[in-house]
Amino acid sequence: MSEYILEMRDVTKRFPGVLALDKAHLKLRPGDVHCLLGENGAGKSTMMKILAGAQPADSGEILIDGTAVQILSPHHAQELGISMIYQEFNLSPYLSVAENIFLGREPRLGKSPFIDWKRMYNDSREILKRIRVDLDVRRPVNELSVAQQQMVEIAKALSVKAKIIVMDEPSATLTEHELAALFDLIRTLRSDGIGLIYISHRLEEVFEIGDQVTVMRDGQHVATKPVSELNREEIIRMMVGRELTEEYPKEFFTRGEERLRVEGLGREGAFSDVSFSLYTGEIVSLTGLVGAGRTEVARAIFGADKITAGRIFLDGKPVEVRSPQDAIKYGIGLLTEDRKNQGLVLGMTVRENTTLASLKKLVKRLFINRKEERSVAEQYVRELQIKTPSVEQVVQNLSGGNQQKVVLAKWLFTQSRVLIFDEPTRGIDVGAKAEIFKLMNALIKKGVAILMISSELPEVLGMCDRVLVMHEGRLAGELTREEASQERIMRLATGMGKAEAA
Amino acid sequence: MSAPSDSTHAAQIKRTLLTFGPLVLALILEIVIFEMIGRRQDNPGFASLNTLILVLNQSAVYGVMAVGMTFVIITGGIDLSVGSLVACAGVLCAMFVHWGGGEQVWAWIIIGWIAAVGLGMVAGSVAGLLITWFSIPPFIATLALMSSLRGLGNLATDGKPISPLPEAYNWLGRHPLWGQVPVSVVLLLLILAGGALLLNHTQFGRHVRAIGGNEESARLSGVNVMRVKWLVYVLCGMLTAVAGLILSSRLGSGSPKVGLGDELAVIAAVVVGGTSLSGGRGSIGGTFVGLLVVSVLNSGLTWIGVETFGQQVTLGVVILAAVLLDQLKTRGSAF
Repeated sequence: MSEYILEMRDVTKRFPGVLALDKAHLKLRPGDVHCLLGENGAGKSTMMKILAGAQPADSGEILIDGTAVQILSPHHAQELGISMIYQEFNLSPYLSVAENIFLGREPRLGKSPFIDWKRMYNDSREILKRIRVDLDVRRPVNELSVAQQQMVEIAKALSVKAKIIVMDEPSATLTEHELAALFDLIRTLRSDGIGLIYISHRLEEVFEIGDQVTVMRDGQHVATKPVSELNREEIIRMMVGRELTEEYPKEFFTRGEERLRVEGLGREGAFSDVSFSLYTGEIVSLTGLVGAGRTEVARAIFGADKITAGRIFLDGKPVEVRSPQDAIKYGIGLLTEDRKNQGLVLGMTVRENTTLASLKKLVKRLFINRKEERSVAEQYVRELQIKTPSVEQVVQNLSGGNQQKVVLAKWLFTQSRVLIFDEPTRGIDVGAKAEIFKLMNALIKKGVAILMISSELPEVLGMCDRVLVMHEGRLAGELTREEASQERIMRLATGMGKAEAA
Repeated sequence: MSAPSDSTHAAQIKRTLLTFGPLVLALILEIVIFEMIGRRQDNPGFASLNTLILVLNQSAVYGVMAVGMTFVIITGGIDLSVGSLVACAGVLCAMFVHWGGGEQVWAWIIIGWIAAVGLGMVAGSVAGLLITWFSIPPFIATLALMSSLRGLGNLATDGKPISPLPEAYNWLGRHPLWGQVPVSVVLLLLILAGGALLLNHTQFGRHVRAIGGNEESARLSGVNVMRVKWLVYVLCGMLTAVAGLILSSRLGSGSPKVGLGDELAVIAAVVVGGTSLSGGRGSIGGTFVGLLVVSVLNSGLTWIGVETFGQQVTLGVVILAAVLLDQLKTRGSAF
């Protein structure tokens, strides 16, 4: 028996024009949480796709329990005891928890084609009990929360007797509370001797849950070390390959006039009585737990959802924002949390996405002026340093950080005066994050008012001048930069801060 | 020209070749094969200008409809009512000319045209409203409309074709310009050119593609999704009515029975031309070539003596081949 449950040696993978993996390696011990870190494009996902049998490697070796194996297909990977839990779950929404756990391996009544429901439900309950999750196994999974769906995925992995579980950004959509539950579960799995590969952009989690850290950069292995021998700065330096001068390059400007004010804003069933002002020269953060109504407030201000109460003022004048068209007319832009499904048309080019919200400006006598359109797009590519071969590149092929910049370019071209960033750094690597923050600084300097929705408290504390905290659809309090601390924000966000704020 | 725009030009040419190359190749192959088989049967001359005009003439009706259908399909929708609308448009125009009773024929024909095109726009408008305002899936909304319109056409005429009609009625469908090019062919080419301009060079066309690519992103970028989708069905209805006028003029009658199954033939041409049924991707040029591939196939099969039943089987095979080819292409370029 080998010391390692999994070894990947000298794995190389070449795509047209890119060397995605260059003799990368990874060793995983049973009962370890092994964090795989690296910027987007460092090769983490390619490595995991090869492990999952979704793509073949060009060369290199994979050993499981010390035996060399060829992973031929996702199904084969599963048979070898490898399970992947992706950000987007592979669950069938209208099937029950138990049906999902046993999908494709349903227990039968003897040799008949009929499903042995009793056994399926019992076995499912057993597995869920093992990971201490309390769920009705007959419920369809679309009725479950994201966190619960994740638990079902993990149960599914365990039901196939997985020895190696890969989790790709499992925390991205979880609340603090749910995350704690996930970590408890990971600890249980660890004590059962399962090897976990944990991919995350949040370094705090690495220190909380990780045993080993492997950092990758440009398709190569940089280092593998126990978490206890590392600190945050060191990890970032290894990931970025250079000293990152500042993670949060905050610049201060004098507060100007009021740009946006909302009074008593409400939408039935989502949030109520939200009032605040946004001034030029500052970044205001709207934070709170997931589900507190932050995104809903942003969408309402932008006219994406109807408001049922309250008023919106722009430069002191009341405005009616009934649709995104109205918002754009007034110079309000929204960078949505979900770039791929709400921010971009993935199949369109950088040029087309950049100009989508303000095509009208480029229309001369019925037709779009292509030449001008291209030069506009090229200008933003230069200004925002978007890494793309040309403006004719389809945005699907860009990295997360560059996609976010294209969304930003779109709103800059509409001459937005109020920009709402909803989780602007989600799924974006450390280096690109700092770049996005620098762009925010430049925008404030130009007189744009910024509202930033974020769940990442370090980023809230690092970049904002004021913090608005929401709790269950209401504003729970407002803190200045000086007053704000992780603890105070969390108290307000969890509804414990009422007395203190008053 | 600076270096970067040169490279984007090259990329564009490459993309165009990649999109149309295989189709054009298939087209040429078809012509060569039919010519060769024809010669064996002592019947040369398939590859000729005459055939081209014949093919274009035959595809005018489908072609005009296919332009509208391309827009609909790019938004991710579908319009099944075109086959019935083709019949209704022809019937309505023929009714006006018939009422006119030989007096001031041209005035009545023009009134008939306007009425038919108006009907097409109203029908498209109804489909568009059902789909946008009432959120009925396009498949269902236009399926219902397909049935109702067919019924209306039959009710209005008691199920019998309206004829005879004056000689002038044939102008749109059969009159040759410059000696041999029928008016309908000229009209088809104009509508194709107009459709391509609309899709590729106007705000409307860009919005159509954006909606098909990602409706929610488009909405949040300030695209008036409801209006654009509604307009797409109005456009499709309008062009379908024009196609109905061409057909009715060619037949010299207004029959409520024509156009049965046309929706499928038109969708086939659009899909063979590389427009994705899931929306966002497609072109008028592709539709034109797709249309030619299908029409040349039908004419060619007739040329070598394969009749309707055989043609139906072959068309099915061609549709599958085209879609498979397209899938291979998108899979190949995914990484």
